[in-house]
Amino acid sequence: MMMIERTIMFRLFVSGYLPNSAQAITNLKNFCEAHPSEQYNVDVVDIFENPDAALEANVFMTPQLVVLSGSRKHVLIGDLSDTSRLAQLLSFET
Amino acid sequence: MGFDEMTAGGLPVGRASLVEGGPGSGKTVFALQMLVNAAQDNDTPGIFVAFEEAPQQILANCREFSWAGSDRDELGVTFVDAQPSIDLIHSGDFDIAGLLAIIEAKARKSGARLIVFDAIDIVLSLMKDTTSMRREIYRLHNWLLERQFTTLITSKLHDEHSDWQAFPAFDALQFMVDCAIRLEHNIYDGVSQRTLRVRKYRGSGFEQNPTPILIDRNGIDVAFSRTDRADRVPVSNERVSSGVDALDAMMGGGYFRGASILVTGSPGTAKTTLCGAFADAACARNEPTLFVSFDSRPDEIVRNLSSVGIDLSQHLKSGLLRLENMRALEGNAETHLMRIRQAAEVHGARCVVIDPLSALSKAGNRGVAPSVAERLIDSAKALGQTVLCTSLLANTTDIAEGTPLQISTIADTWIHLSYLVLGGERNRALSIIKSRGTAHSNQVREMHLGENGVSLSDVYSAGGEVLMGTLRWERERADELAERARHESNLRVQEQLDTDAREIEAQIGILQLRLAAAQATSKARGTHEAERLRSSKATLRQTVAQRSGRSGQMSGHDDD
Repeated sequence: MMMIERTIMFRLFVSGYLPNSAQAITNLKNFCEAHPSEQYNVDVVDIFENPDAALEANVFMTPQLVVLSGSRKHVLIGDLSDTSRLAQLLSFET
Repeated sequence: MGFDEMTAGGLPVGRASLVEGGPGSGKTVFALQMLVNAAQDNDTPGIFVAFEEAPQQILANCREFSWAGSDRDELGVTFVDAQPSIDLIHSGDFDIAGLLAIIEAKARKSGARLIVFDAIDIVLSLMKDTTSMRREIYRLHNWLLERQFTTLITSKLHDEHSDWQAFPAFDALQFMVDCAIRLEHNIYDGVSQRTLRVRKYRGSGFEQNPTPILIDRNGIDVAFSRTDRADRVPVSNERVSSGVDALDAMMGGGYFRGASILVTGSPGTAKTTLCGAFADAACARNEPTLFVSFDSRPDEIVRNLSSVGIDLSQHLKSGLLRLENMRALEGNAETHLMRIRQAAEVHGARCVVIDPLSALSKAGNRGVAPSVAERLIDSAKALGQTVLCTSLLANTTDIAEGTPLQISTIADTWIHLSYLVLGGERNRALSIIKSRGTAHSNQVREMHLGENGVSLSDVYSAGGEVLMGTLRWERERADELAERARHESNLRVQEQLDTDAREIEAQIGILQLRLAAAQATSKARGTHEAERLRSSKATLRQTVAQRSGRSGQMSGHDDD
């Protein structure tokens, strides 16, 4: 199966180490490990540290994951406990 | 805006308050107005977090309000556009901690102490389960408590009578706030009525009843004023002229300053004329006067009153008189009440005329009109304004039942105007039904409208009958003629008597003359007789002497 070489950009907005945010970090890490065929660029933004960045990105609810894959952009809200939607978005086989 | 008075001080400082209401009940306006007022009056910057509408849209909607400047920077309010993106993909549990962090950063930058969360139900309803919602509400609660922000949260209302349902954790929201306000917008008989009700207010006394609100150019105005009922102005013994001298005299000097006067009567009984006379007199005393008409246009009033010698145009020119035509204005009784109050306040009115007040009770307002009328009078009283209002009475039996607005009980003075139809004429009659604190005439007076204004005359009562108009004139004339006839006849009798007396006197004179003449004649006759007797004796002696011898000795015998 031919795969197009690509780098997937993950930008995860979290609120410090609050349960949902901590859970999201763990879940995203697990997701990347579960799909090692791709290259990931993960950027975690802590709103507590950098509220302006969140304001700029219009992120108010956390955790929130902005996915940039090629020219497509998706926004996922939640602790990523359900990664099937993410996999679906990135056309992974689950 | 009345709300501060209603809650004895406004929103709780450093605490959270909730404004709940249906769509279009004015939640957003209420919240934004609160922020803008705080920013402009107390120089306290605020933050407006918009979940439902874009800030630009909110500002555009509020642009017409007097407090909303053209420039959003001038408002002193920082807007945070927190509308959730419609393309959000849900992937598990989330929280609003990020939002709070952003707001905190913003507040630190601007020094804001006031925060509005507009339509929090939008963000909470994104959550999949009630537990998360409750958790986020408590998160918000704790966060606010820690930072002591004064917060106003708006949310759609949970109401069993409504079609829409609030989010399930609404009770938690109601619990967390220290003050809960409900805004309602209902339609009664096709007339919109907005109300505000404080449902709870921890640690403060508050007005429990729904209070009408008005949304107009000034934004939301809460029609509540505790001072309405307070005795802010001492009771005055000063009298103000009714503009009709005879009426003043009937009441022993005029209306009391600060009193409320009700003038009732059928159409055409010259209620407006009495209003005009009162306004004219007030302006002549240099008192700013507000004349509110629900009947006619200002120019019509001026024209109509000039025909009875009341010139209001000079007072309009001098600015003392303000004529407001509210006939053309749509709105419910509350709206009118507030417009009247605002107009009176702006004008600094000392005397207020409302003609007719019964216009307030038009269809759809019957339920609230009595309370509106009462509050109108109360607030005017609290400000020391003398209010003259008229009320239309369809028929005279209404007097027994009181006026449609029940103001006859609140009014200090009640003047009733009526027609008396007698002898094919309608004549206006005025009576004072009551006048608190003043001795007043209990007599019905006939009212005349002439070129020189209003005048009253005592009614003509004859034989237990009250006469007016032509009948009165006829009766008066007949009585006058009879009186004159009697007078003339008296004169004639007197003259006759005088004549008789003079005649008798004259006769006495004649008799006296005749008496004198008779006496004179009688005296003359006596003298003459004595003369005659003497001469006849002498003649006899001579004759005897001659006959007895021609000696002449005989004559001596005759004398012996």
